[in-house]
Amino acid sequence: MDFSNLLEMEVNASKLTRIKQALRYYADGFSWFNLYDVYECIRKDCKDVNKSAIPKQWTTDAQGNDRLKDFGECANNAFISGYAARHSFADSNEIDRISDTLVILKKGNVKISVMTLNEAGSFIENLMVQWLKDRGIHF
Amino acid sequence: MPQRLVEITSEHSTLLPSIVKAKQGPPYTIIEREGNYYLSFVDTDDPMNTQKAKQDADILLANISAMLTLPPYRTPNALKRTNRIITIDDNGAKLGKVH
Repeated sequence: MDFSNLLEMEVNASKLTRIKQALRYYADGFSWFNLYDVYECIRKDCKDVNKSAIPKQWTTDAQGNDRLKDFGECANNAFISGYAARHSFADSNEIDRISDTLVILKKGNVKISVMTLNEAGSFIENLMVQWLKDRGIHF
Repeated sequence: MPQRLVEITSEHSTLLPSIVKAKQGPPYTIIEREGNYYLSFVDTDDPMNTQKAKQDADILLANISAMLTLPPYRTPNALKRTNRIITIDDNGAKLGKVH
């Protein structure tokens, strides 16, 4: 594998505080907390730099589904992700579990496609790569 | 200004040789010296006090390691720091003992 432009990328990334922060959270291992921290960095940076939300095309899967809401709910909701979730059972939206991959939030009747932690890791990895490209850091 | 050389190692055989061959610039470089690899950077702190240099090196390595977790690299925990630190003055002479 060619690592020749690694340090150049790192130096460029380190000039941008928000990217530096996101990379550190990302490198700290997969947990709902770390992955959500990465997402918060990207969301804040898009708000500050682009004056807008994260572009939909960064969070849309190959089937055309925007997975951002799924990610957020799975990260936060203990009824979906158990004790690994960011919020407690006391502070999570109750759900009706339709299947292993689909739940409905009782409040609002919102359908959520369940993401495993590994799937969330891939989702955030893709989001990171799209964001870094947008900020001029190409792999 | 004094230059710190902090020894680093990698289990990934091509990582450090590939970086050394690449174009590098400030604020730090990775160099090969007598068969070992070092993170090299300017450090104006007391040459006898290597604690701060270790901390600075750890921060740099954490940032590089973070980049290495992303595709196409996907090589987490690829870099490690040893406790060997060399301090060099403006004339290329070693300062103090090698820690």
